[in-house]
Amino acid sequence: MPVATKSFALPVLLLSLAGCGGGERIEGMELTLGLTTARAREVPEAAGARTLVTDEGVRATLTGALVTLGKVELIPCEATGWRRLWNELSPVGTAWAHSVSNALRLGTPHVVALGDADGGVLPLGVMRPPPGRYCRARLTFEPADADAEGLSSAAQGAVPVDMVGLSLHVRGTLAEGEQEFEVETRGTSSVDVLLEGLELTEDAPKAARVFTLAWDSWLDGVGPGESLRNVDLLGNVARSASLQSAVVP
Amino acid sequence: MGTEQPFSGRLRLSTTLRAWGHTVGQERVDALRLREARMDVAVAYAPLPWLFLSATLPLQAREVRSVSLARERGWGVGDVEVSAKAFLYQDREFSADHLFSVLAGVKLPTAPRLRAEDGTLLDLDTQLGSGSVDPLAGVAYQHFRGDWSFLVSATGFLPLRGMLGFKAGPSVRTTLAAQYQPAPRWAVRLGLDGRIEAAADIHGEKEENGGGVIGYASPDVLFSPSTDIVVAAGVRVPFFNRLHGRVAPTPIAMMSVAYDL
Repeated sequence: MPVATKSFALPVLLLSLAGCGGGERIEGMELTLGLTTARAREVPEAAGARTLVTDEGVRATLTGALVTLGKVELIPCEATGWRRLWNELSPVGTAWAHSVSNALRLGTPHVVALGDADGGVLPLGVMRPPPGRYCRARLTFEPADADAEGLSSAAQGAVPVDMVGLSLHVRGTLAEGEQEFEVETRGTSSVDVLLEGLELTEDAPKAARVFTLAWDSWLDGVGPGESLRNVDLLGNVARSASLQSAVVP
Repeated sequence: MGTEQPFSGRLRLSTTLRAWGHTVGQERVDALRLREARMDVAVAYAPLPWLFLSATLPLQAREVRSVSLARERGWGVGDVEVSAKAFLYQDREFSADHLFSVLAGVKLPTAPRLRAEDGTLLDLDTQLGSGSVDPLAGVAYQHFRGDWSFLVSATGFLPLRGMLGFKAGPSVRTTLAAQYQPAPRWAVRLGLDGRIEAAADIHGEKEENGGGVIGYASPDVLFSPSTDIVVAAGVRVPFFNRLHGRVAPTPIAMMSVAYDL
């Protein structure tokens, strides 16, 4: 072999090897989550689309409502007893700021608007948890940060609302339209929703769940002549959450 | 054996097989488990009695698995390292007892950017190279005394920014080793390897896990079936881990063959 060829052989070999390589990706567990709204009670007589009757018998109509779902956390079935206590005492997830997502937490806040009609599903995102059984999902409603999804549509509605720092904005009329109201809250409220035996395995790695917010119970506790300020409205929103069904959002 | 003294015209071909891994993050929450098998193919040549030039080409295969059992696999050529080692001092021209050398080199971004079947880039953890030019420099001292030999070395790495804004932290790797050769054909070696490193960052945002100090105990057995061949096998057992965050390294298994032409 000539000397010149010899001296170039190694660099040429290295350069041609440098193009060699490959890769592959194999999907793991995936849980797709969504959120919708619905009535939980029978439609009152002569009711509009957003008319409700509270558990105290007061008739009301919502003309607008926005609520911030801050995060969704998956709770494995085995997390009971001391482990559950530990999780609940943990400071993780109580911070004001946009929480970090991980395999068991969807930390992207969503501002959910109560639209003109029920049935539409808002995609919340895809979680990639470890395989296992999950008994509950903890939904936390908390003030929106500046990165929350849905802020701009809330600010561009018929009645623009800046939801940054707010966990709930609700407005409407009470008692057959005689008394208008508008309430905003900055609190935090969590609820555990039963997942009815959600199990992710290597044989069944994908699942989807949709949570439902029953908006016609949001004003529960409001009695005749009572102010909405005395009612835990955000708690009502949290307690209205349930699992819809195993459908793809 | 294995740490022979230089002489002009020496050409050495060697290959080192290594299997290693680590888990970064919290189990069942955000842990990433990395496993890698690699083969470093190296050639070293001494054009002068005091100068060793070497190039190392790694062939790697790695898998990164998340808690969801999602996996990424990458394989191919890694980052080539070229270096020059200059022996600045030796007490005798032949069969020296004391050798002092300095090392300078660079790791080059020769590893291809690996993609999945759909054309999307694999995660940084799955990439075989950093995409950066990483200068390195070090010093070493060797002492030979009868059946014993000793090595003390320190090598510093100063990585530059690479692909996707990643920049490994500057690091220093140290080795303190003693070797006993009771027979011409075999020897045993025990080393302590250490690594001190700053945390890596991506676009200036520091990685939560990594950076700190880690120490390995490194026992090896060396065997020379013929004059020009040395086979070594050993393990690097992490015994001191002060890396920040949650980083759990596995022991590193290694085997090497060196052939002097």
